[in-house]
Amino acid sequence: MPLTKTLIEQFEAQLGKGAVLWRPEDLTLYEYDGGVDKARPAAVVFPRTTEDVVFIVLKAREARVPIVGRGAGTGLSGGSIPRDNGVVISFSRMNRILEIDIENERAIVQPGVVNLDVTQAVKSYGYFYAPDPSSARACTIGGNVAENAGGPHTLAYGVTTNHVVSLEAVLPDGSVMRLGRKELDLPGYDLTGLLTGSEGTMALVTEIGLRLMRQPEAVKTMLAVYGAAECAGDTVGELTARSLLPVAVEMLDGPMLRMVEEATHAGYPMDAAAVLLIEVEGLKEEVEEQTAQIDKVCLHCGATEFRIAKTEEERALLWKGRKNAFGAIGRITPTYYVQDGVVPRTQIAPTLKAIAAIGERRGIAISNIFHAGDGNMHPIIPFDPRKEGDLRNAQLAGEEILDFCISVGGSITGEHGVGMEKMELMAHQFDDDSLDMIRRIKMAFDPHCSLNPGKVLPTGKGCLEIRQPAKMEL
Amino acid sequence: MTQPLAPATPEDLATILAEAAFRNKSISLLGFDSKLAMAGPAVQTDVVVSTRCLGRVLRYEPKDLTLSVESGMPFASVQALLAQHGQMIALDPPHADCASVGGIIASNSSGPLRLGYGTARDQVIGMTFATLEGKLVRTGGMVVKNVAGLDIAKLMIGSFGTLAAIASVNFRVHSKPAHTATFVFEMPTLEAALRLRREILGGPLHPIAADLLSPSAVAGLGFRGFAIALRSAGSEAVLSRYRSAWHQAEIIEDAAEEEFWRSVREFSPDHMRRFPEGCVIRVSSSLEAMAEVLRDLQEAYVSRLLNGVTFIAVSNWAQAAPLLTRFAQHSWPAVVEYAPHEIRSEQTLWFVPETEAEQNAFRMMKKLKAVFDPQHLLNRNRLYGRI
Repeated sequence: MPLTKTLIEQFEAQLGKGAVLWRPEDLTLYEYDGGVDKARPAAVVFPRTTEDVVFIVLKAREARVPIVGRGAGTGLSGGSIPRDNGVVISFSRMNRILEIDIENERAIVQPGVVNLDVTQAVKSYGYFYAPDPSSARACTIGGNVAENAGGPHTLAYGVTTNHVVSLEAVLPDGSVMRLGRKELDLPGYDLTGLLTGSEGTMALVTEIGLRLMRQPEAVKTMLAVYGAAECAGDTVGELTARSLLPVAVEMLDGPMLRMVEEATHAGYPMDAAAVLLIEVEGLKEEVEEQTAQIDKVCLHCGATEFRIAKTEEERALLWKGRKNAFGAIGRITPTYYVQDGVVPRTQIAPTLKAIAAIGERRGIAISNIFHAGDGNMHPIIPFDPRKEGDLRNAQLAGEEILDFCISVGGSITGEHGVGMEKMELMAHQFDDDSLDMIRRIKMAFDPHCSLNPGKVLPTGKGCLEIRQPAKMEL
Repeated sequence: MTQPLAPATPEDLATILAEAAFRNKSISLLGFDSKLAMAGPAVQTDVVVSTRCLGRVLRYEPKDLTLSVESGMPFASVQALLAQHGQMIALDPPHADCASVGGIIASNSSGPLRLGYGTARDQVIGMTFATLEGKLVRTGGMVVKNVAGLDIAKLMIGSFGTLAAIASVNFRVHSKPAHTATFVFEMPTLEAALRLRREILGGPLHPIAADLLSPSAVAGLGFRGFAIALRSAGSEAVLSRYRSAWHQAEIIEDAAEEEFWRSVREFSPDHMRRFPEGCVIRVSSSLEAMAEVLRDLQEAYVSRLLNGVTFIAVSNWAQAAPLLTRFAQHSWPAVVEYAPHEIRSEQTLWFVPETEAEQNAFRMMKKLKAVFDPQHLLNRNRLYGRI
């Protein structure tokens, strides 16, 4: 449904003709993200400055049109899907690194800056930006803040929220807030921490202050090969129990590593039941010692082989397999559903069993690739969209897996967010009072529920306004 | 003072709050009273609620490195329990020996170890709190990675009990390092000390604590001039690397090391014990601005050298006021963290020079306060006199 002509014209007058999309053929690119849900926006606008964002917000507010922020559209939970139509604000042109301040270990960036570009920009100074989602080459810092994104190395370094020190954000009433500074320990409520992970439902972030970290002196990457997936799961618990602190512990099960190997030739064994990709960083001495100890633990837990990458090329190859896994899956099944549940680290082996049983019961070949070190499972559930009921079957399998995660003390999402995918499941994890508190805090920021409506909270427990259709006319 | 009510369960805590709020009674929340001289003045209220009977360990899974405890549990007891398994909550705040878990989290207290492990916001993975409506709200969980719903625990950390009462806190815990050693460099001048900091930042070594102590702060500890104290952690091999890199420093280990860091950690409370009329100012700056912040400062101070946070101890308000004015002129955020009750009742404690966008942020804080406590009953003005 197109927006009023006047609104489009006002956007074009402020932003330029090339910064507003409204023809149906131009909008199709913006109706999906990396997940399975779809909805077409009424328009997509491309601001370049905070003032542009304020203008868009005020005009949309006058027209009572909802707004959804979008980074690179790599999200996996439908966070940037405009489910009530409305205006999508694409931050792809707000992509400048505003300041690199090595002396103070900070970078100030616009939300459309690509994650990996931050590290690339500070690498030569010996620094890096720690959160590294698999989509780091494409996803944006703004999207990372919205979802509180993680990645393999968050095991040691923490997720996005641990690396964001300040934000500039536009509220739905058009006012601009500045939260936090380069300096630490400001008095007052930690609104930066509250907004990080709020999935674009409370404010639109227009500038982000990031903490930079010094590169470690040494890094070693190793691969442990297993004949049984449970043994790999046990290894994770044992590493934790023995105070060994890899910076990443990634697991690929048999079906997954075969898909990955065929696509990337990373050197993974084709006949194994699981592999662990483990990385340690730090001082040379530390890395040597930890590698030797990890070798022992892996073999003790039943690893049949333990390899250490000898060169930077070997190391890169091992990671290439992990980082390009989703592309590899695409060769086998063009459509699949990536789940994102978390369990306590001691529950990995039972969870893998439960996932296998659910897959068997539903007739789906589920494979697994995940951040084992922090118990963040990513079962990959293939489906055929042409087959009636196949997607629904995959989604139900996903729900059963997440219910298992909750039953062992875990969570329905570790890094992908609730979005529209897991709204209803929120009620499985939280009671009504807790959900209501989320709603009330959201409404303090967004009283008219105009920002990213229909996300995070279960139907009937979100904003009242969400249930009313947004007013849009020709 | 009003006799405190001490509920024994989170449900009772919620009920007491709801009843008081229903009758429009002002409420103060207390743990073990360790921080009564800190932040906004605690005033006489109609109802006093203490968490001291909420002292249970709800869950401890050493192999998962997670822990859930009620807010009234003594922090020292929690650390003692974890130590039996070679683990710790990686926080070393002031009052660590006498504070409750809830008090430390509500005041966002931290110590020298924050360099290596971060602050409360990096350790807390979940929380249950009681609201004035008598509800128990859960946020986060018992896993180290979790983005289901808003991270409301972040709001509670550092809120000084002005929003709700923390009933229990879930932590990620850390293994205690195998060995630690502390290296103290005596530096003749501030400039020399800051040059050393630059060297550390440029090198591969990552101490878990790096504090700068002013001459008057370090004199009692047996050092002269400015002292930079660096704590390293790891295996023997790692420590020997530090020893050879920092061979010019004096090394302290074992009990002496623990005692040294205890003194540093307790810098502010110790000062207030010795000088009841004294004040402690906390000023934040970028690392670059620290030279300017600390220039010509004669007072005793401790700086978290790689975090840019400095605690300055003065013997009375007359000495504090000009410092606060100077910090405000430079736009360095500062608070009066400790001062006598009367001072904290009369003076501005929160010096954050604000732009319009920062004022908008403060308005949002007030809005959130109104969501939780529309009648303004709970721990009135405890958030540095402003909320």
